[in-house]
This record gives sequence, structure tokens and C-alpha cells, in this order.
Amino acid sequence: MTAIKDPRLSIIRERIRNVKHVIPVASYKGGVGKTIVTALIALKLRDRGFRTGILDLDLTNPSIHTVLGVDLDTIKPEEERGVVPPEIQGVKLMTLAYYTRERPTPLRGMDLVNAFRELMSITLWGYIDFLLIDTPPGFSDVILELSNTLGRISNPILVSILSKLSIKPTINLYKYMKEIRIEPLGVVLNMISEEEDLKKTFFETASIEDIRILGLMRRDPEIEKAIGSINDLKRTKAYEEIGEIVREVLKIIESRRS
Amino acid sequence: MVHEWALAEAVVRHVIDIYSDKKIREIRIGLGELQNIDENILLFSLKELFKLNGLENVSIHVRKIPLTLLCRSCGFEWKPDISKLGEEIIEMIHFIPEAVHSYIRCPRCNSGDFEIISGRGVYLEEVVVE
Repeated sequence: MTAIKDPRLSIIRERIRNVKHVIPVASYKGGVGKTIVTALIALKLRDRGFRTGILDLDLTNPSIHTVLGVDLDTIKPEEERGVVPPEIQGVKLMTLAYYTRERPTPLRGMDLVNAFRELMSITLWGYIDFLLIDTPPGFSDVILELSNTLGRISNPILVSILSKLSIKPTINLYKYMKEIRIEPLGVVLNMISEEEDLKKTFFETASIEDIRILGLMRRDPEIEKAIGSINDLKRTKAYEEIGEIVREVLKIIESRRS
Repeated sequence: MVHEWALAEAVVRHVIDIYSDKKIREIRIGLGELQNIDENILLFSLKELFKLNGLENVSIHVRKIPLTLLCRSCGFEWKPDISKLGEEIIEMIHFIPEAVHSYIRCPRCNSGDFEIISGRGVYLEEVVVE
């Protein structure tokens, strides 16, 4: 008899075997618009004809379903030798919210790890081109689990705002990822308004540190009104801007392949 | 086929990965009360999956593990009766046991910050090899 590790760890890779690209969307700081960016990228990829899924790993505050206007009373995963994520206008969505129903869910330590491993080991994604993963802010349980289980086969996008509270942590996280041999696709600068000095500083630092900037998204007051309606989201300026970012992502992926 | 199959796949894959060079005689599974797993379906899935991997003679033993929770806020330890939660909530917890934090509170201080000391879900407790 030998020590037994968690059996679920043996099946997680298998569950994403037919997912071509895993893209966690991460930020060190909260409130930088990660969830919106994740949803818009997924919708744009779907528009371009790619088979796309979203996994919401912000386990104590899942909110992608709110952005996409998912009615938790009528939509739930199907049970078929595992759990099959429902399609929301063609995008597969898996979230803990199907099971916690927007109630307060205090989770910490091993609870977070268990919820992560359970979700990852029972969800059947099937054949998809892109799996976008919305992550909680910061650098703790879920991000560490994600790094350990999918790290090197994933290509994260980091989201930052132009604030002194966000720029340095973003650069640090980017550098740390490279140190553990995770290759980020780049940084999305979100909620830009008139911070010209900060923009200049960030671009200079990014150039010195060899950090790729995928694109900029202006502060868009229409976004808040559009939350809950995919059709309204697609009519925002932000959705146009995300088009440029998606183009850049596809270019990078193509260049890495060749 | 229900989602017990996915959990059985994890166990079988794990056992085969770890003991690929040995003859696997038996496995012992702990079945936590919280997840409300159908024992017969799990056993059927495990047997089928072992068979698919050319291991027809693995004997499988299942031990039921009662649920015990410990409140991290006030230290109270208790054994909740999950069956009283109603079918819909039991099903939520069946898929993701941590969902219990959305539906149960400490009976003494009302905190949702508690630890599942035992009886969470499917555990692989022992593998006997030759």
C-alpha cells in the first residue's frame, strides 16, 4: 500500500483533452473588469466561428452568468457520464452558481480546492477551440490550483487598469508566470480614460520588462446597462475594442504554432 | 448514465496510473454521506471501467462515512441531517459538495464558515496490490 493522492487530479487533464486553447483571465487586483473582459472575449470568439466555453472559477462570487443573463431557474447542466455545460447563445458555460444559486457561499482553503477539483473533474467540455476561465482576483487557492493542474498548457491573459495599485502587481504576476514557465498571451488595459502619464509609464515599463500589451479598452458607461443581455453587450464600444484584442490573441496563437 | 461515472473514471484512472506495473487485487472506497452518491451506480461504474481497462477481477469494498461538520467560528461540532434539506438542495450538493456552504449554517452561531471534518464525498482509501 502507498500513500494515495486525490484521484480527481488524475482525470482533470483528460477532461480538457479536446480543448485546443485554455485561457485563464487573471488579475492581481480586484475590480479591474476581468469578468466582463472574459465574457466579451468568449462572445467575440464565438462570433468568429470558434467553439468556445467559459468556466467561472470565481467560486465565492461567480458572476459570468449574470453578465450573460443566464436564468438559473431554467438553465442547468445535463448529467451524462459527468456534467455537460449548457450552451448560452452557442457558448458553453460552467459555473458553481448552478449549484449555489447566488446564495452567500463562504469557502476557504480546502473547500476552495475541493470545489475546484470537483468542477474540473466532472465537467465534460467535449471538442472546443477555446476555454476562457474567469478567475478570482489575487494570488491564492484557485490560481495556484489552476497553475499546478493546467499551468503549462494554459495561456493566461492578465487584466489591469491604469492605476498605481494595479500596474506593479500586474507586471509582477506576469514575470512570475514566466518564471514558472507559463506563457501569458499579454495584458489587457481596461477602463482607460485620461491617464496619459500612467499610460506612458506602463508602456515604458512593459517594453523594458518584455511584457506584451494586447490592447486597450476605454471606460464604457454602456457596459453596465448592457449586463444581462448578450445582444446589448454586442452593441457596446467595448465589444468593438475586444475585437482588436481577439485579433491580436489569434495572431499570437498562430505565430506560436508556426 | 449519471455523473457517478465521472467520479469512478477518476478513481480507476488514478489506480491504473499509480499501479500500472502491479496486479491490482482490491480497492477500498470511502463514501461520504454529504454527496449522497448512489452506491450501486458507483460500484457498477467502477466495475465497468476496470473491465474496459482489462481488469476484471478487482474487488471493490465500500465504507459509508457519516458527515461531521466543525464550525470555524465558534468551534461547535455537529452531524446535520442532510435528508431534511429537500430534494433540490440535496441534488446541488450531490454535484458539488462544497455547495453545502450555501445551504447549511452552524446551529449555534449561524456561521457558514465550517469545516467538513469527514463524510464529504468519494475517497479512495486503500489499494491492495500483489
